[in-house]
Amino acid sequence: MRKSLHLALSLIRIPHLAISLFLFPLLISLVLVFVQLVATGLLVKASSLETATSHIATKRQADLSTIRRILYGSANLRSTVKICRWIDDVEGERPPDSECAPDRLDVAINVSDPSSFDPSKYVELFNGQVDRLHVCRTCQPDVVIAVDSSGVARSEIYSMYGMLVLSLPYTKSDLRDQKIQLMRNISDVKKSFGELHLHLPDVDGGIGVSQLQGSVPFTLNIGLLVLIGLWLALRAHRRVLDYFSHNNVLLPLVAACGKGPFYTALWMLTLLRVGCFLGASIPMVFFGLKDIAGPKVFETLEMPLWQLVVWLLVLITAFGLATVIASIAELKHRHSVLSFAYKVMPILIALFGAAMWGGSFILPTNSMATLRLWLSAVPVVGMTPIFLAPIIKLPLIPLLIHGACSVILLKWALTHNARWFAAHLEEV
Amino acid sequence: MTDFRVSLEAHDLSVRYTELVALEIPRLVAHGQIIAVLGHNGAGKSTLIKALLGLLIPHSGSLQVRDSDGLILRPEEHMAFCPENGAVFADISVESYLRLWCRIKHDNPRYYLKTGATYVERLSITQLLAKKGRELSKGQRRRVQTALGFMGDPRLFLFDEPFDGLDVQRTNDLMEIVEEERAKRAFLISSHRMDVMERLADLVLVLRNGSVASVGSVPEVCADLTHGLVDGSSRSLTDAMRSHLQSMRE
Repeated sequence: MRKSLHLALSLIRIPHLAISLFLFPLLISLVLVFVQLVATGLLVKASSLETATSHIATKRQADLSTIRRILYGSANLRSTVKICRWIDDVEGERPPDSECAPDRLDVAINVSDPSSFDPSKYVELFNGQVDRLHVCRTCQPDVVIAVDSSGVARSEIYSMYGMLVLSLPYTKSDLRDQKIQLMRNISDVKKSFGELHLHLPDVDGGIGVSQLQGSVPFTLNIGLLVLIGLWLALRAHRRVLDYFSHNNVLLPLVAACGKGPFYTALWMLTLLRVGCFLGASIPMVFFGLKDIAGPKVFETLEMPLWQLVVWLLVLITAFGLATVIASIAELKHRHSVLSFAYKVMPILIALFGAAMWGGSFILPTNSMATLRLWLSAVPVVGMTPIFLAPIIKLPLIPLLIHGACSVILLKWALTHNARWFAAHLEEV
Repeated sequence: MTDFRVSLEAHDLSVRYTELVALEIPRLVAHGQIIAVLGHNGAGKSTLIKALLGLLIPHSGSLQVRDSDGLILRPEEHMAFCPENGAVFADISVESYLRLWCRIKHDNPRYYLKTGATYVERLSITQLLAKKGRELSKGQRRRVQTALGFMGDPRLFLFDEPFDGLDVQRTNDLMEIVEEERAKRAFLISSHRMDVMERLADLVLVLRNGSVASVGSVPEVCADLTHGLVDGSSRSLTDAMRSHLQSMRE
């Protein structure tokens, strides 16, 4: 063990390995976790009526006026919008007076006949938001709304400031009030139903639909962490082997260190890599979820801690099996034109299982419930229900069967292919 | 000078790649200082080396190397291996590679400057220290790997095609080093250079389709391979191997 640790620490000193094994994937993974958290945040915010109404209400002026501050240097509403109908003379089209001299932050409405166009709809939208509304044939500030004879509009934006100008009408207080009212109405409907419980034959006590707001982000985030961790682990193995193999040093190095210490060192590097990732991402996810979904997010899971740990272990073995199968299949058939098909085979099988599992909900019968339990117990095929176990309250027995079968298959896949790997070490 | 000898022992050995039998040696006990392993492509030379290094697990039987004291040689402790193309990381300097290797083998990154300095000098590595692996020729890469192998102070040095592509001067240099080192360690060399092997080897092992076609001293093997041909025993190893390959084709 000491020898392996020594070897692992020596190998980290190779700059290429240190960067490709730790730094680069760690950054990528953390970005992925960040994106995952942002997506979760949006999901939670979008599904939470209370949060949405309070969000809109509290940010009434403060946040939304930021755009005006950027554009005009002041958060205050602009004075009443001035309508400038351009006129034609011998020199061509020109503004009616000196106060209508066009500015980049104005809005222009390009129509074929400015004198007869009714701009009231646009006045209502831009009043207090921009200084001038030009009705003209060809004038061009940063925002040009071209309206054809049938009234169909098309906006041409010539700068990022133009994008901000066009976003101003969305910040109008009456629009926000309408939004808040809509949210409140939906909230009232929701309150009149109280807590929702979906009863299925294979779920004791039903699924608390109202609780999903907490359990869904939690489950998705944990599941994705496991997936990224496994992906990192798998890639670590391949990356080290590929690097040594490309440099032709794999055989001499394995021979010099011994197969056992070399592979143990490889595992250590893998664990170190996954450890670095988890060490950085778990606190990020924990505090992120707490911030996004509220401090009660961890209480919404209707699962005792030990069951949560069992789920995590089963999830790791289930995903581990799928990734190992994909990796071995791709490695053994990498010279085949269809090598990519081998790689995605477990995903396709899992999707097939997911389709069957999801389809079984159409018929609310006991036989379908039994089918769901069977599907959940089958490795790879039942990956979707295993992934969603905390949400759908999957019973313990199929969970344990799935985990046990995955461990057995994982061991079989590794031992069965060990001889092949040893024989083709320099070709890896 | 007392030469260091090893004995290569195989009993009911069978090494397979899944279903394909790559090496099958019912019984072999051969003693030598410089063992030449000869054979056509696919004869089982690389399989034998990998099996000796413990990289391939025999399907059945055993394969081991003992020194003159009867001690079984372990790959990571007593053996070194230099592959055909040489083995140097493309993106790190030779010096960094030497340091890394010495750190792994001796827990001392500066070992190559002290104990290993002889080999660094003898194999003309000094002027290559600052170069990266990708800047080295095949011969230079092999010299670096050879130096590293010697620095591990192995009792058995396994060479895969060490003379392939070397000019006359480098071939003679390497032969000279092998000759000098034979007092301290044994060599197992897989090579197509019959002329060199004839001069170096004291034991020749000829493999044919995964089994031993002939084993013994150079004259013994020559006689064995050309048995039935006109004055077989007087032929050179090159001619004997040529006859052997010819007979295989026929």
